[in-house]
Amino acid sequence: MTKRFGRVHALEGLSFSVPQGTVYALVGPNGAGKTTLIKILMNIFRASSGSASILGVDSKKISGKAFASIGYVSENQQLPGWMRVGAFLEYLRPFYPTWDTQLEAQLAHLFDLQLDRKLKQLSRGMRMKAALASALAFRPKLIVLDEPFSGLDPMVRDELGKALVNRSGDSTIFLSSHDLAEMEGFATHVMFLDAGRIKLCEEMSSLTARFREVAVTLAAPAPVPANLPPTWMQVSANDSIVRLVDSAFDAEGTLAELSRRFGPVQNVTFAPMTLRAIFLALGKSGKKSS
Amino acid sequence: MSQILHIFRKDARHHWPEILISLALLVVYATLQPRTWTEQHYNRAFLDTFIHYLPGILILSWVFLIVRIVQGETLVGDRQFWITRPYVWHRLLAAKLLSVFVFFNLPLFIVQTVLLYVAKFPVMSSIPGLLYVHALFVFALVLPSFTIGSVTSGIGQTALALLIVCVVLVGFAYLSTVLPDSDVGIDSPDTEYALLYGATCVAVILLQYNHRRTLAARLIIGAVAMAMIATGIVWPFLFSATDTFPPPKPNAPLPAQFSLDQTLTFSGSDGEQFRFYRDDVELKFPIQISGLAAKTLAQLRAAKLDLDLPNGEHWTSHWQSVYHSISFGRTRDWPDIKMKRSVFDRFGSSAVHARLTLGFNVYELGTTTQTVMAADRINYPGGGRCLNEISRDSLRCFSALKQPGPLFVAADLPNSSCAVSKSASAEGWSSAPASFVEFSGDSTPDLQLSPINDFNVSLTRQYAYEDRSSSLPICAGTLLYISNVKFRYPVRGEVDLGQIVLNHYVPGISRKIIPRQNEHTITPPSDTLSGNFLNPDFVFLQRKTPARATP
Repeated sequence: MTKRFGRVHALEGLSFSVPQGTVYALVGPNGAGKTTLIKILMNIFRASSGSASILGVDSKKISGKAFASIGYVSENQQLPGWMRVGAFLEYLRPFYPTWDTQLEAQLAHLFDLQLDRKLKQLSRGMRMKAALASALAFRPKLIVLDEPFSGLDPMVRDELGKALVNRSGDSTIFLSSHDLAEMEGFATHVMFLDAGRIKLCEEMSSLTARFREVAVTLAAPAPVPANLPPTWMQVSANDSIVRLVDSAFDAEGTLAELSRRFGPVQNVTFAPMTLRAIFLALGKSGKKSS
Repeated sequence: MSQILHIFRKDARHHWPEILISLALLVVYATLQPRTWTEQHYNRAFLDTFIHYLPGILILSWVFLIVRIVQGETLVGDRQFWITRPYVWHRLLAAKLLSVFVFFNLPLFIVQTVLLYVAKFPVMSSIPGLLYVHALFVFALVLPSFTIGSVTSGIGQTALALLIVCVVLVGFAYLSTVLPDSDVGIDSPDTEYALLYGATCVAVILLQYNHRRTLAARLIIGAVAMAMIATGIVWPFLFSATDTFPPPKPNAPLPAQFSLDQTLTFSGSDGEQFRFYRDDVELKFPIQISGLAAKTLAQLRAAKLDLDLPNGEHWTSHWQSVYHSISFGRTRDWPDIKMKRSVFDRFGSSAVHARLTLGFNVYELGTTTQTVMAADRINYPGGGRCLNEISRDSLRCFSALKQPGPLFVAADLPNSSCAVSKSASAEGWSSAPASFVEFSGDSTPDLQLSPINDFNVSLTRQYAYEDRSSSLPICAGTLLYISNVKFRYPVRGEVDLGQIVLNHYVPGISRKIIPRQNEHTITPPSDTLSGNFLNPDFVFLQRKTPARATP
């Protein structure tokens, strides 16, 4: 899939699939194209080329009743400010055959929604909560969230995260966020988008398993040799200590490669990396992960 | 259906202030409207002003309401919550149309029905006409408001769009004054324009509701507007009034013979009378008319002056718009032509060879009925009623939904106490009867808020050199001859004015006409009105037995 705005290539050659029942995190810096991608999937924008299939329906044809199975919330969505929260939920109810009033009440309680307040009188975070309640109460098969944690306080983020985890399995969740730490808690898959291109796209478990921060103490100081393995990133040497990030970690193999490249190794540590550290490493190295 | 009603109920809740305002204004309009029929004025000037502007305010309130209803689910942008909800586009559109019907058409229809009833016009037989009026309202008000609402996201954008529309219309109106021949009744493609406008509005609305392609929709509107403007500019060059008014043919001859009355010119050839002219100088030519057949009426609709200038150049005024009615009995008319001051200053005092081309619509009188004016009111054929407004020398007439089509009214007065103003009797009457001529109108109802059509019938008679007219009083006992008028054909004719000096045909402030030869005689006016009305020659008007008017 490709999307251009005039001469600007917002998305370039994207190809991916989201397994059913997963929590799929779309991460990347500002301007990476996350919102554009989601809007194409929701048929708000049209792709310049390529196509997407959502719940078996061509994204270009997603409209009307198709949205009875999709819960979409975006941080910059315009809600009918003149409506009270309760009236807003009540208004949406008849649109969805699967609307669960009990779940609606639970979500209202969870998010501490004041049902008699007008939407325009709510803070940004509270509006987001109201939108989330309206998008989750009908138990959608697909939940698409664009920066759902934006403007939410930590406690609510945590609650929302739990709510989403509870929904996972029944629903497929596709969400974008800047908040990598939050994603790490419950995402099962992750896609890193940068400048409209996919930098990384895989299961969270395999991602965290293959990335390690490596610290090596050599027997004697040695320069950083040329032609290092392409899976090694941010390699630096300070006297006899060499640090690097290995994006294809395998304890025995990595150790053997270190010995081959730097000679005798006195000590080595392999530290697991957070999602944030992984993406910082990826971003700084500018290398595409295998 | 449930989704349609669900959205409709939401809109009714959301837009209650706008709905309330438009309904309140409509109730005020309905309450005050009967007072305007009797011209009852209020003591406070602002109330009269308010009543005067009330229809405009009401229309604005409806435009605002329709736009707001459409923008309740705005179609512009990509952030609206509803676009990712299970809205079915045609149900959303149906819900909006239902709102417009319930809050605009229905209240207006009820008010119009009540007004017809209050005015004692038949309600049931007027319903098809009322439905037609509402179809016109949908076409002229709902459709453009809906379209603008569907391509704008808020009232600010709507106001901007309306401003652009106004600028385009003003520009277009200005162009018609600058372009040659563009205002002389050339058969402009009005039907095609209307179809294009309607199709564009419908296409834009469907495109927006089905696909929300705002940029494409705006481009379509812009392109169609540009195409219509371009056509309007090019059209006069493609089809001039020369095409509209063909030369005479055996079965479509000139309605009369026309020639320059060389006995008459304006005084002041020293240039005194030209001082009050700025960019354009007005020329008026005394054209003698002879041989206008009985039962024939002509509308002088266009005129063109061609000059062969002393320097060998040719100058043309192009076709200019004129609205003169020429009824049987007329012996003279004064077509007027505007000329650029700069051209006039160069050649005004020189002898130039001039040709005047006149474009006519020729009409024929249909069936004539006679009716006698009762004390203060009269019924006329077709279901209308008139009240005599003696102070204005006119009949104030009312009809349901539409003004009667092309109409000719002549009168014969008994010897009575009806007074003729002194100014009118100063210089003698034309031999043409006192009459009222209305060429416009057709059989379909007019687009107007009030179902009561209100118009004046004023009997006027030419006097002096037949360049002036005066309204004459209508009294109890006046015999009125009412005829329908049928359009027959358009035709043009050329009058060779010969060698003339333009200065002699410029009317000054004081309008002094010089009979250059002593042949011209002024018929003294009769002292009695009966002598001033219907000429015995026009016996064809006196066909049917007079019917007493219903008071």
